[in-house]
Amino acid sequence: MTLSPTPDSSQPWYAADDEPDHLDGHTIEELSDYLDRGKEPADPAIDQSAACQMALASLERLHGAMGSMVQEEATRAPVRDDSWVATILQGIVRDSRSGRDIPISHSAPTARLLVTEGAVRGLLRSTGDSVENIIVGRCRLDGDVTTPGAPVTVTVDANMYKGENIPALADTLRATLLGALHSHTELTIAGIDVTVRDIFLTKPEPEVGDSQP
Amino acid sequence: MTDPAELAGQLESVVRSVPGVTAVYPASPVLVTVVAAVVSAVVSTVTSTVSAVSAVVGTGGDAPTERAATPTLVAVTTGKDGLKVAASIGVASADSSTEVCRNVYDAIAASAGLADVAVIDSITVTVASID
Repeated sequence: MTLSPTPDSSQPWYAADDEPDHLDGHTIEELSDYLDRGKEPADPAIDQSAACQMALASLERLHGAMGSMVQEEATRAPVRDDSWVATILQGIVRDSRSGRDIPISHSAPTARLLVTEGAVRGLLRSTGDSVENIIVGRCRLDGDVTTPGAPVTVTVDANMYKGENIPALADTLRATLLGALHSHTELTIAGIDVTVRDIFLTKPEPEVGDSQP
Repeated sequence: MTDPAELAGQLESVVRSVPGVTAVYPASPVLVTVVAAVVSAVVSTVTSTVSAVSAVVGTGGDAPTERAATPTLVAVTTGKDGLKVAASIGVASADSSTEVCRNVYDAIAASAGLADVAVIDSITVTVASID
C-alpha cells in the first residue's frame, strides 16, 4: 500500500518530530510563512499543535519587537552578521518542543497531572519578552524536572538594547520569571542564570498610529 | 457503558468549560492523530490493510488493541486496569497552570459521563501551552 502526503504539508505523513529543525512536522520557515499569510488558509496540523502555536506566538512577538529595529540596523550596517536572528529562531524551535513531563501534585490516586517542559519554556520566553527592552533568545531547564522537589536551574539567554543597565535589567527579568514559575509550576528553583548574548544598537520605534495608554 | 467516542466528546466539552482553559489539543501527538485518521479511513474502505497500518500507529502510542477509535481531542481508552482518559490543554498565562490543571482533573472526575464507569485507571491532564 502506498500512503500519500497529507494535504497541508509536503512532509510525508509518517515524518517523525525528532528532526532538529521541525515542530510537529513543520519548519520555522513554514510557520513564519503561515503567520505572514494571516494563518490563511487554516492548517489544522498547525492550529492543533501546541508546539506550533507556541512558536507562532514567539514569532509574532519577535516580529513586533524587532520589525523597525531590523530595518534600521540593516541600514546602518548592511554587512552586519545577522546570525543572532537565526539563533533566536533556532531557540524558538528548540524551546517549543514538548520535552519532559513536569508533574503537578494532586491527592487523587487516579490523577496524573503534568505541564510539559515546552510549555514552561514558552512561558519563560513570553514572560521574558514582556520585560521592556528584552528579547529572549533561548531558555533551558537544568535538573531533574520530573522529580518533585529536585533543584532546577533556569538558564535564559537574553538580548538587550544599548544603554540599558544590564545588571538591573537582568534582576528585573529574573524576578519576573521567578514569579511566573511559581504561578504555573511546582518546580524547586535553585537559581535563574541570565546571559546577555547580544546588545542591539537601536530601539524599535513605535509603529505609526500606535498610541500610549 | 457510554461509547468511548461519545464519552470523549462529552469530556472535551467538560474540559473546555473549565475557566482558564484556552485550548484543547489532541491528547496524542499530532502526527499520531493524523495517522489514526488515516487508519480510520482505511478501515472503512480496505479492511485487509488495517493490520499493517495499525502496527505503524502502535509505535507512536498505546498498543493498538487498547486504542479506541476516538477522533475527538480527549483520548478515552480502555485497558485491563480500567478506563484511561487523557486531555492536553492550553492555559491562560493570567491564571495558574497548576490550579487550572487540577480543576480540569476534578471536572473530568466529577462528570456525569464517568458516573457509571466501574474502574478508572487514570485521568491524565497535560498543560501543553501557557499563553
